[in-house]
Amino acid sequence: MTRRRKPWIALVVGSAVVLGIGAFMVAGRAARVPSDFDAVDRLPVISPDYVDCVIPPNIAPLNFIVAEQGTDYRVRIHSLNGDEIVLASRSGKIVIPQSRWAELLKLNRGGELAFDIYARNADGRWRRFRAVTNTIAAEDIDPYVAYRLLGPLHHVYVEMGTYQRNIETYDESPILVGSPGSQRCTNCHAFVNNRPDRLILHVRDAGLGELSMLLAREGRAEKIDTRTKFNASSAAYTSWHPSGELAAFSANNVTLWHRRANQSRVVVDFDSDLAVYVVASNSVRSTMDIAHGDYLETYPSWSADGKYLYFCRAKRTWPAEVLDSSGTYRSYAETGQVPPGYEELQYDLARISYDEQTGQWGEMEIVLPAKRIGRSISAPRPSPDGRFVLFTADRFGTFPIYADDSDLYMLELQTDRTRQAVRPLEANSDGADSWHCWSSNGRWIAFASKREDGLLAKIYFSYVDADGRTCKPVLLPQKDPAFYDTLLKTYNVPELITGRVEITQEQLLDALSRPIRPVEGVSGATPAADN
Amino acid sequence: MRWLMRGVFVVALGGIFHHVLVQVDPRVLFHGDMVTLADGRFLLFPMFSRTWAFFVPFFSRPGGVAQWAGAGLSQFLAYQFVGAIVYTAVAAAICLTTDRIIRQLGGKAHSLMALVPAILLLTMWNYYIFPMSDHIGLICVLLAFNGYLRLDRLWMRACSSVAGLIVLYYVLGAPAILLAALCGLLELTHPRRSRLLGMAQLTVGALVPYILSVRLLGTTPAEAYLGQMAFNGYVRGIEVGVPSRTAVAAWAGLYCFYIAGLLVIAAWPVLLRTSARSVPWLRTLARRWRNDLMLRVIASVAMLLLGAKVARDTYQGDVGTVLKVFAGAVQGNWPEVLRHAGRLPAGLETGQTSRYVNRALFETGRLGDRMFSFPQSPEALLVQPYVGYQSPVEGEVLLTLGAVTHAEQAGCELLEAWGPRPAILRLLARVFIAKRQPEAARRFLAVLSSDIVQGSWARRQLDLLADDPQMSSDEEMRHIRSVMFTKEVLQQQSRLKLLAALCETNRDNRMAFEYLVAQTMLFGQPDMTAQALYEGRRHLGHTVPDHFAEALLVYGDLTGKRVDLGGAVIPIRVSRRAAQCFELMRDDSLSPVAMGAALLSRYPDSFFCYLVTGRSGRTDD
Repeated sequence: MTRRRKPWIALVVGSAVVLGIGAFMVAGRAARVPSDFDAVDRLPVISPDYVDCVIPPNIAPLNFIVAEQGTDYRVRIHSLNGDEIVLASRSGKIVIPQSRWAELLKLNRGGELAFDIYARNADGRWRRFRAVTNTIAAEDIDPYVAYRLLGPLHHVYVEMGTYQRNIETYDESPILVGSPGSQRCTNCHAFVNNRPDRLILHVRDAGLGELSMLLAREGRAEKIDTRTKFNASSAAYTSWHPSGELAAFSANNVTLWHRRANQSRVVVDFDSDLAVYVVASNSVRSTMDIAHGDYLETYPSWSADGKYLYFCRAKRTWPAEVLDSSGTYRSYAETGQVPPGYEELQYDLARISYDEQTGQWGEMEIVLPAKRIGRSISAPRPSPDGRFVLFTADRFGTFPIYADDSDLYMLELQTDRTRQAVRPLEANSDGADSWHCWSSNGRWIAFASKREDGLLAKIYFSYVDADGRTCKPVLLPQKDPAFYDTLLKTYNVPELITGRVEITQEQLLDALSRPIRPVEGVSGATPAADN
Repeated sequence: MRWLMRGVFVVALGGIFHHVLVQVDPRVLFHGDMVTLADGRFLLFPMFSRTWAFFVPFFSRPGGVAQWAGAGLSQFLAYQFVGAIVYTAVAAAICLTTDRIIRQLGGKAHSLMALVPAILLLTMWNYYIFPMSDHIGLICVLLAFNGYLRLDRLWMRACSSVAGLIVLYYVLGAPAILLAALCGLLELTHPRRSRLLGMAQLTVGALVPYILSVRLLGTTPAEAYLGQMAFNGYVRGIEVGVPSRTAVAAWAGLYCFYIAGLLVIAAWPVLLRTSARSVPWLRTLARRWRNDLMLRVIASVAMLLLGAKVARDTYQGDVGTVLKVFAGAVQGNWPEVLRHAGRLPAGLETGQTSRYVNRALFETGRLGDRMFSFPQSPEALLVQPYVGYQSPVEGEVLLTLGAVTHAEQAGCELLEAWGPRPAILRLLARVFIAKRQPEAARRFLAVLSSDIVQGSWARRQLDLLADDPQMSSDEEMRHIRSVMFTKEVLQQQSRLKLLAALCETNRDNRMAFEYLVAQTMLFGQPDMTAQALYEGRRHLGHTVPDHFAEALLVYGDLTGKRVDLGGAVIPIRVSRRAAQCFELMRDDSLSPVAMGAALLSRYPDSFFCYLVTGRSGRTDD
């Protein structure tokens, strides 16, 4: 018996020795950068492009691929304080250890972070490129981002979902995800002051034929039908009042249409109004100034102090109803015709004051007319300090994600309207840049950009300095640096949040399976039909 | 008599190989992508990537490993000969393992029964069902049971069966439950085995899917107990096939065969003993069976003949023909499409089939002459834009026509509905190359490049894009760019408006011209046909194609006008036939129904018949 066991013992011991030697060699190889090399006077090509960015001090490791010819690679990551990190790779994929990276960034807030990159030629000579540098910001970014992840959709949707991702690690978890056969479209989501504990999520359930607003708070979720006599369409774009007691929403009658030549999709907004949902009374209130029959009002967004509701507004250039070929008056949406002048329609930025205590609306005012920048304004987002409004602008309409020319703009709010500075962000690109939000400390913005391929958007973070100027944005990092190369999904509506959304998908699904709760009252506006 | 059984097996497997190679043709399962049959069922073929990222998700569910292996082996169906070998290897593995089990159970006399699974497999395959992961599951279970039969000690049997079941359930999914059933029944029925162990094995077999799948992984009970079995797998899109009651029965019979067979073999000695007086011939027959070579030869031949008859009688030739039309269209083998289209059974022509046939007619230069030789309908040429696309081939038609954003929509919607299938990725890559968006094209090519069959095409395209991001020297791209829209127009488009706009964009777009003329005819609008022919008269040669000429003659008959086609003449034979048809159509003695019937019987392959009856081509009534 003893003799029969000997070969096995030898095999186990032998394997352990081989593994040990292998591990020692790998560890030894990773610990050194070459001392003998040829200096190359240019920056190396790395993917993603983490060069000259300002990065959050609490971001997960920016893993990347060295896209230079070579048979072996070394990368030395270092800064003024702390231990350097030296990594080796034969494929060029650089995966940085999380804890050492976090330590290095923590010790060097406000300083520079350098990547020394070496590549070995086929003849065995090493090359060292000019060091890649990034700046570590002093201020943290909110540790989580919630976003939609979906295919390059047109009319069919199967597996779209809303997810949350820990920016400090790579952990991604679903908030609410559709499944094959569920025919569930999860639309925009909104949080109160970047806090994860109060969430609104709009869900279009084609299976149930329902459009509902999922309201999650205090660990509970309920499904609300926001349609009333005032607004025939359900809530679409939503903004929580800082108090968390009410949420402004737009009710839009939109259709996805197509164009012929290049940019295939266009969302046509036939009609839209704004209203406010009051949580405590489960009621909706509005006023003529934000729900005018002759105007399209959309994209509500509360100022940080809750005193103003910002929104986009354009005068409708087509009649509410048109005589169709059968001699019946129908809306343009029903006739399937393009409303005349739609491709010239540009939205202004407007705001209206609101007194939360009395529920009284103030005067509506135009903050920035579209003609001043010659572009249509979408999705205004006031900064947490109240000094800026970040918005998207493109040639016409209000669906910038489908417009190649959409860019982010920063408006500096001043008392003197004529002296207000407005300018495109430095972080803009040739692709569509849209769906932006602020971090809770106002030092970071997150947005979706199609800058890489013009088709699929990814999430970028850009640092905003005290003057409202943005820096070169940094792409949301992934553990596998080649992750985005084969991802056929697009990210949108990134919302920075200060913690993890604790309500579970099961709770949200449970709420969705329960009967929908209609709002109980309408006040302050004339029903749309009477306008 | 071992040589006899070996010979029988060789002949049976040779027959299976020949049948699959010649009749079934594995390629149609691979290439017949996105096939919608008349009853709404579909076929689809997934990609198989060699990457770790592709493999990992399979680990998250019981049976995922078998599914991964099945998906990989199924890729060999892309090649006719190799595909037939895969089919035959499956049959061989199942039959030989079954034979081994029968022998171990002491039923040497029952060896011929090992061919029964082959007959059941053939029945399934004849319905174009090839659930590879299910087959892998069955083979692994039989191998495991074969090993179990060699174990003598109770504790070894107990430990190995429980551990084996857990491991196999994770690897194979629901087919592993068969192992518990076989082990349990063996223990219960065999005189020298433990009934207690048998009961325990059956209980564990029932509980493992619930604990492992429902409790730990959160699946539904249906998924836990049927999750990776053939027809559930089909619904998930990993398997390929067209289920039907007979095929489902054959699949169920395959599993039941082992349970029933085990019980029969176990009960056989008892049966012989107890029936010695009441059925004396049974014992005599059993004795003769053991000793009489001729009887065995006769039985073997009978079994082979039975297999041949099942192979012939259960083969779904109609389904095969539809699939061959689809496979031909996917591969761009247009003569092959038309060859099989002529054999399409009435009732199995769908709008999708007709669209492929019409594309084949156009590509072979016969759309204007032969389109009404086949069943036609208003949906037989193009899918109504924005309604819903069924196949990447339809997107290819739009791309070739120049309707690039429509092709993009088709590709994106198919991608959302079906996931990253090779044909969809190919379509989208080409759409974005045509749109001069090489970075977007690279995304789709990067995914496709890891596919084991179509990856080489994608890698070639990536190389070409690296050399020339616009691929301006590519002949196909140059053609598409020459015919694609250049002016942005926002509108909801009908098919006619789309085709007319394409003709307007580039007057040399011959495909758009022929499709426009054909579409006006399918809509029964001779005035629009005449207009389209007039505007595109430069595409006509010396003679107007027969069916187009028929439409012109109808237009002339209705309006009394002639269309100037710049020298193109209407063939005399068409004018003669038109005169006969008009005479028939003006015959007041005929009711509309009788007139339609007369046209269908005498001129089924004419525009006149289609215009009056809405039908064309060969009909069964």
